[in-house]
Amino acid sequence: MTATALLEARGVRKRFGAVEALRGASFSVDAGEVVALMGDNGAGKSTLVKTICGVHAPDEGEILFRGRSIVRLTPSQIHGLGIETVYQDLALAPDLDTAANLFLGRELLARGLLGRLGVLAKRRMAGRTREVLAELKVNIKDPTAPVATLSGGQQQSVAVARAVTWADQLVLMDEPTAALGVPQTRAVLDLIRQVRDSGRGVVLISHSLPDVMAVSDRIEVLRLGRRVARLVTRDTNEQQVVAAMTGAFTNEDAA
Amino acid sequence: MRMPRWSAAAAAALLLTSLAACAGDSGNGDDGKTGGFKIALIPGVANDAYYGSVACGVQAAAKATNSTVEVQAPKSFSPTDQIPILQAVIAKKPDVIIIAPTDSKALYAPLKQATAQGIKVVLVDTTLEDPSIAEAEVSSDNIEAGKTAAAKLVELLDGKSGSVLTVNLSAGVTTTDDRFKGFAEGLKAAPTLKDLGQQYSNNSVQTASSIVSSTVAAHPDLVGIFSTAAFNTEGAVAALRAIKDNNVTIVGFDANPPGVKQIQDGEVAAQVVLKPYDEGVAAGEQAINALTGKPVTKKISTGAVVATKDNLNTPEVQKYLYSFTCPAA
Amino acid sequence: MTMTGTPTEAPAGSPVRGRGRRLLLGSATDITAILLVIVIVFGALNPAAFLTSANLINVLINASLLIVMAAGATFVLIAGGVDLSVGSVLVFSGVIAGKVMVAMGPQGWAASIVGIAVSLLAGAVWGAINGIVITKMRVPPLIATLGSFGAAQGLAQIITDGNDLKDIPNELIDTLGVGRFLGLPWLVVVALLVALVAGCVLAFTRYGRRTYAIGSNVEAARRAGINVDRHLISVYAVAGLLSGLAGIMSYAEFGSTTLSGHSTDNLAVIAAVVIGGTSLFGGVGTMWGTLVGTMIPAVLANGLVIVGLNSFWRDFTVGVVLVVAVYLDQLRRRSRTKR
Repeated sequence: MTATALLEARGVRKRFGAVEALRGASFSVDAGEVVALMGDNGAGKSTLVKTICGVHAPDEGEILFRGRSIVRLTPSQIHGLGIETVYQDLALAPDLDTAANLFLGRELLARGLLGRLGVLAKRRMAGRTREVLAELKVNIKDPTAPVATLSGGQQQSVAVARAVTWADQLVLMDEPTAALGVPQTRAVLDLIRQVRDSGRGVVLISHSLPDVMAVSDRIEVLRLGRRVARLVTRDTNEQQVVAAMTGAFTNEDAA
Repeated sequence: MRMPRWSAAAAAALLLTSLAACAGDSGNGDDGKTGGFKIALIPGVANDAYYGSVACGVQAAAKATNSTVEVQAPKSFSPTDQIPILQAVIAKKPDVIIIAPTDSKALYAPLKQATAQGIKVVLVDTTLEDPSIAEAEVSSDNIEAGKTAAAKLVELLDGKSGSVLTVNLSAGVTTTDDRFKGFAEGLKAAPTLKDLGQQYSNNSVQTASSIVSSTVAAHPDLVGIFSTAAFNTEGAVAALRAIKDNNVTIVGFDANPPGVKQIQDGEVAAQVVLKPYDEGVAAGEQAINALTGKPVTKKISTGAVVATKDNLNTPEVQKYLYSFTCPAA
Repeated sequence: MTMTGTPTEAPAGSPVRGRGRRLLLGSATDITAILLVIVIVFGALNPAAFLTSANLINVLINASLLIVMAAGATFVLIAGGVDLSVGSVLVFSGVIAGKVMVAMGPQGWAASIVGIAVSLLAGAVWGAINGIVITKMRVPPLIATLGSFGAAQGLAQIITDGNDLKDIPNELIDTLGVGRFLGLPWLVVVALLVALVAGCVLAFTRYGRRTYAIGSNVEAARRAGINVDRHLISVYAVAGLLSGLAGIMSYAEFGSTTLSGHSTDNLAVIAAVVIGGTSLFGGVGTMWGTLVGTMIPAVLANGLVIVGLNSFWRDFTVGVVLVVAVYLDQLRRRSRTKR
């Protein structure tokens, strides 16, 4: 682990009305590693991710990206730093094709006068899309078909590919395999490894212990809004993780 | 999905062909110089018994010369609906088009297209601002009819004093404009009656009804209503019925079946009955004259009768009540 | 729950052929076939009357107002909205233009050009109001545009006292109204130009693509950083502007504001757009489809009169074609989603 983590959250508190979702939560992830963020329902995983991405502003605490605070930034500014999130609902436009979804909101315009009129550079976007898909070893037979025609696993891959296209630093994923069958899950896990191997950091929220054990390098466990355990995947096992989630095990000092 | 597409196309073809087969063909009119002409009649609006009587009249005149009549009516009284129909009719190249223009200006250009192609034009009921392109204009003398209505209302009111409202159709329709003109003129003969002028219902029963209700509220001395068209009479009757007002005498216009019933039920004191059947006959005759090279009377006015409960069943009045069923020739 | 098993890709046929067809006609292949069938049937039944250039040009003229309004409606429906106010905005814009032209002229080119500009502006303003009520006040589009349907028509009648305005510079009548450009009526030229430009914007520009995106998944568009509210307001404003264009075209064509002649335009426009393959749920549609969709009722109206059928059959037939088109659209949608 390097001295300055890629992204680090310290003592984050967040309250929604009467509910305190985060009570001094912490988290860290480095470049080139997959960290799984686990915890029972209501532990605060989604809230922590949304706070990191700028959707919510924390009441207290610090979030540092490469050592610099990012708590005051808007979601667009955070995207600009190279951080992207793949939400559980994928946020894909079903009637648009793969390339259109990849470039949603960040469309490439043609050069010169045409570009100033807003004309799209469709060929360039298609080319870039092919490159990204090849790089991630994602196989989509007809990239010009609407993404609604793709299988669940492929749609997930397109959402991940989109995040990877724009995030050159860190990708956060919320339950990427929750709705997938066995072969598609395997493909997505392979994809996650590709992303890690490209040098980016990956944060993975998942309920699936087998998936987490298979793909993550480290596991951080949240419970009741606070980090209770930090585990290295190859040195731990499923029982220990469950124990951390239920509170029977902790290796974190009280914050 | 290839199957649905081809069967959809086949179904569409089948539907159209069968519809066309059911359509009355417009007949093979010979190119006879004395008969067998193709007459196209374009009324002002469909589903109006007034134009039904006009059509009957045209058909009677056509029968005499072995000519055929094809009727195509717009679904609303508006040039936006009438002009596309006129253009399609022109494409069929009839010998003559008898038409009731729904707008005195807008119909000029399309009718000019017809005459440019050698199709003769006869105007019936309403007319154009510039009728020079037509062979003949046949209409009711609506000014005279309006005066007749005024005279009847004055007679019925028998010296009472109060105000009188006219519920009219839309501005710019020559027939109804003339009816009010005549009525206002005739009303002057009764100094005890105050003329409140006219309001437009744009052919909506709803609007006519609210016009009458608000007038009664604003002028409690309202004693008479003149309605220039069927929908207006309906609206007036409904409004008065709702406020249970028996002090207002209505003189209406147009004797289509609901109008006749209104007289029978006593809700309307009198209806001015035009003679659309006569209009149709005259229009048909002038059209044939124009086609056979005989002299044409450029302007014909047909008259009106007044129907009341007393004379409703006399043959004089009966034969002019509006209907889609044509009287035996 | 997705099925397990090998993921199947796009519809049958090689990717190249499927993509070619998609590029060419989008969701409008079936409906173009139906239009061709209708033309062939009428042409066979009475070629001398139906298949003349004069008659076909008349059909185009009668479709021209609808084409202009339907172009705007295509954007609105693709974006997931709906606009019921088109006919009333048409009338209202014509009325405002009429009043201004009378004040300025009532004859002359200056008055004419100002009249056109005013009509476009009046339409655009109504459209923007629609957009603001829908996005900022969160009133559902159906209700918001139903409100302007009544309000615009009502205002037009208040301003004119219920009587159609008939004063329009002869210059406008002679050019836009009845004049021709290279043999084609100006009305048709304008309509086709509008369809062409609108089609290009839809198919080739970022604006068009974002319209599809918002209609397809508005939340995804928002998260991608697209300013959804601003885009929607502009889409409704464009639809209003095009209704304003139709307003001055109608005034020039009929020489009258035809206050009572446009109350069912909104349904005719929506039917045309939906027949052309645009989905009522947003995200799908093409301008070519809309063009075909407007031609079908126009051809039917003309052809049915020529073969001698009462024009009430037109309403019946358009109704049936509308249902068939939406049914085919549903089939297409269901066959490509796996859910």
